[in-house]
Amino acid sequence: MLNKKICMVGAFAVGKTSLVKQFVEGIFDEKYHTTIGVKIDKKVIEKDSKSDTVQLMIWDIEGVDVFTNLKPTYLRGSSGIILVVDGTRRKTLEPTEEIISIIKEHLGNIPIVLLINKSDLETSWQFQIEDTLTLGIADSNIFKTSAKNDNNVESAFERLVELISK
Amino acid sequence: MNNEIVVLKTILQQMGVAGFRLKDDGFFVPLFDLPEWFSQLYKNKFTVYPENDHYFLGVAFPFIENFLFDAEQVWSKVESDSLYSGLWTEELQDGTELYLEAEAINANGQAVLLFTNETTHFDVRHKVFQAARDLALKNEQLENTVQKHQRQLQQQLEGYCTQSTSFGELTKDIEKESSAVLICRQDGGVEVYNKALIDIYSLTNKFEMQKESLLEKWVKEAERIYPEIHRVLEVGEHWEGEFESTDNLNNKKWIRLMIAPIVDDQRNVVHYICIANDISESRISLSELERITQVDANTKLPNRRSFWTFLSDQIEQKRLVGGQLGLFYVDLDHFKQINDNLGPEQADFLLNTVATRLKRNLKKKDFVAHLGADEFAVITTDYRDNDCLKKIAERIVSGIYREVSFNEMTLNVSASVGIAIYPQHGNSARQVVKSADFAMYHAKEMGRNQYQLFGPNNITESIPKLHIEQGIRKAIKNQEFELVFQPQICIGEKDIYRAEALIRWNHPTLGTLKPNNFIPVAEESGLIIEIGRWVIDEACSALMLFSNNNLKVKIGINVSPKQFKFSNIANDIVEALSKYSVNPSQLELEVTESAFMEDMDDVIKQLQDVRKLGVSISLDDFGTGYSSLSYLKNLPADLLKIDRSFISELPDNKQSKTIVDSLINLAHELSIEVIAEGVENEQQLQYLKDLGCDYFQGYLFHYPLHSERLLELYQNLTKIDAS
Repeated sequence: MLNKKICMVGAFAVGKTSLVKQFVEGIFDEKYHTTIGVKIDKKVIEKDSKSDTVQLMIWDIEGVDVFTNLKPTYLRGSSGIILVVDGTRRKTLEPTEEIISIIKEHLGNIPIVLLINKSDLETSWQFQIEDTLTLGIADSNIFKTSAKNDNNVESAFERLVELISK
Repeated sequence: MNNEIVVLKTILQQMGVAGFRLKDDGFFVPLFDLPEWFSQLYKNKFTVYPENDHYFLGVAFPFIENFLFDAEQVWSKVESDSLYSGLWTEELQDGTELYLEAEAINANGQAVLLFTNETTHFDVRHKVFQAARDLALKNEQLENTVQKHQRQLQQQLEGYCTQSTSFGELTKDIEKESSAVLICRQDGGVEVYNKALIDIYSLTNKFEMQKESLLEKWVKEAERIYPEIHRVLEVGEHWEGEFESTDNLNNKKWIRLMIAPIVDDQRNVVHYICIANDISESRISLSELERITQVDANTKLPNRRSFWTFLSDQIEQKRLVGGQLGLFYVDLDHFKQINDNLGPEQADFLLNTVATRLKRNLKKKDFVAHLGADEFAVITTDYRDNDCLKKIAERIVSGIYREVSFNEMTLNVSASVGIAIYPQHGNSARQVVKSADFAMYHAKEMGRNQYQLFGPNNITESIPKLHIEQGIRKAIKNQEFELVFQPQICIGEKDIYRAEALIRWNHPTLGTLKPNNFIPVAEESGLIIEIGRWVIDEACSALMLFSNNNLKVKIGINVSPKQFKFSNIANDIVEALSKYSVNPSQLELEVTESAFMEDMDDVIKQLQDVRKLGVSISLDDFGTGYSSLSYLKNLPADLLKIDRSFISELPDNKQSKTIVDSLINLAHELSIEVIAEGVENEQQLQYLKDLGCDYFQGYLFHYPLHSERLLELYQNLTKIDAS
């Protein structure tokens, strides 16, 4: 079984922890609990053959805000990144370019999947997928997700697994 | 030296630290017994039990595996250094979350890895960040609402401007609009504006607004953070942003401005539609957010986080350019008791009072922080020598040591202060703080309400909780406790000798420990019940020894409030009296005021039961806690012991004189006898004698003695009396 480290990054309160919780435990909590530091969860992704099975080591990293920057040392050894933004908050797009440049500086061209979270509130979204074009992420690696409704959560993680397994 | 190492190890254990040394073969081995939380966690993470004490920390903890790369850098350096990992979360088997931090230390070439369990402090830290981020989210929502409104308004105004040639109707329509509106020509000449604009800029009339083009002013102000604004407007594009602006009265305001150019058929700008909102409030709360992460919400002093940042920065600066700094660690005496009994609101009031007193007694340059609960810290870089530091400490101690008045009572508040100096007492922030903490603990040991400068003795005298708790059970079994007796002297004639029994712990590695070193821990852990029974038994055994030698002696024993709550003290006494055939009148219970705080009626009933047996009751440390004299008449007391803190200030301190005078008079009025504790010189004795004090106890007469020595003393005194 392969072990792969992936990191959840993005602005604060975009739903990184909720996405992990939904993906790993199938649970969603309405209340916002801010993350401090790092929490690591594991999830095995079964494949057809045992040798293809991957154990994901998911690093849920504290969101970026005026008090907290992304620590590049946390990214070390990552095979892929899940970058999360909140569709209902345009502001969460603001730190993404800098986050991507940190990732590229320290990890080179590793796979990044962009999750525009809170698709259950899509009518209140403040931006569209087109607004993320400048980030240089391929359409096939961008997912509209909802941790609340479990919309596309598994697909997004599986896409990253697919990319890092190539 | 070995003793110090034992103490240091147990201190680290008590702090919830798991310490490892990296061996040459690449394995981690514990530096000392691992705390329970770590063992549990390790078992949960790594099922193979460590052989030969070899721990696979990188395998068990992926976070640490990653951190080891950075730690290696620290360990490979020639000079001592350290590095923190940042906080991470682990889960125990039952789902309990632990919040941990690792520190890699290069200790003179030794690679050390410490795991600190931050779970107890996490809640406070989390609350601050949660509040800060919740507030930031609210501000974002507010800004979004403003933005949405501005855009809708802009669309309406654009429609009007393109369809109409005059602004007559529009002026009326926008008058009551909450956003400020200005429509102007390309040169800035005012065409239409509304009341909201007048309000934001504190303008009085149109003439004032026309003195200077507001559009020009905005562009100038905005270009400090939006240098592209000129270009955007020149090419006739829409612009929006937030910047600081100055109103007509020179007040600074944060403005959210949207500028939409209206162009003619030839793409020439004919009007600018400007919509502005004052967003100062949300900006202020943002700066407030930054502030609350640095400031204690109650005392408004810099908080623990801010303290560590400041101290680390100062030490780094001193390391680079040379120099020293003094750290004062200030801990209020008996705060837990106050908090438990008065409640959090009054405790907050007390902390605020202390914060004010601290600031008043220090220079503006000195950094004062509230580290949480009853702990404060002061950092000073502005001093000449150690004497100066001592003078500052004296100011802190005496500045705090005054009464605090609450609604219904007055409380004497005091603090113990430890001083440590960078670089003499530590070359890192953490080490300097530890040294100051040791010194503060030493000050508490020495009787509280005083300061101590860090010295080697502080370490050995600071005995950590864990070590104590683990040892107490063994101590009873191994007969490591003993009672010593300090005589209480009567100047006049009495037919009985008196002494107070004091417990000592002859610890196998730490030497003789005084009650302050272990009784608080025993009370917390419940082991005090067992110790209390042992004391009663041992005191009765000593009384039997005196009786067998034809000496009439009365022994006072200290009783913990917990004994009233969790044991049947009357039964314990009856058993011991009967076991040693002791007359109950030879035993006295010394009870502190705090015993009455939780359930006064029940304690009074238990004391009455004890008294019915013939055992007398004395009120210990009187005056140090809740100086409400009114309830004294309700207590079943035969004696009142005036606390040493008042006696030590006699006969010079006017306040102490008044208190002692009043206490003696009041007690005598109630037919209660009085003992003065801590009598150390002739002047004190004379003063107390003049007031009619009944008994005296202190080093002026005798240090505490073993029962055999006390027996000898009383036998000699009996011979003198007889002759």
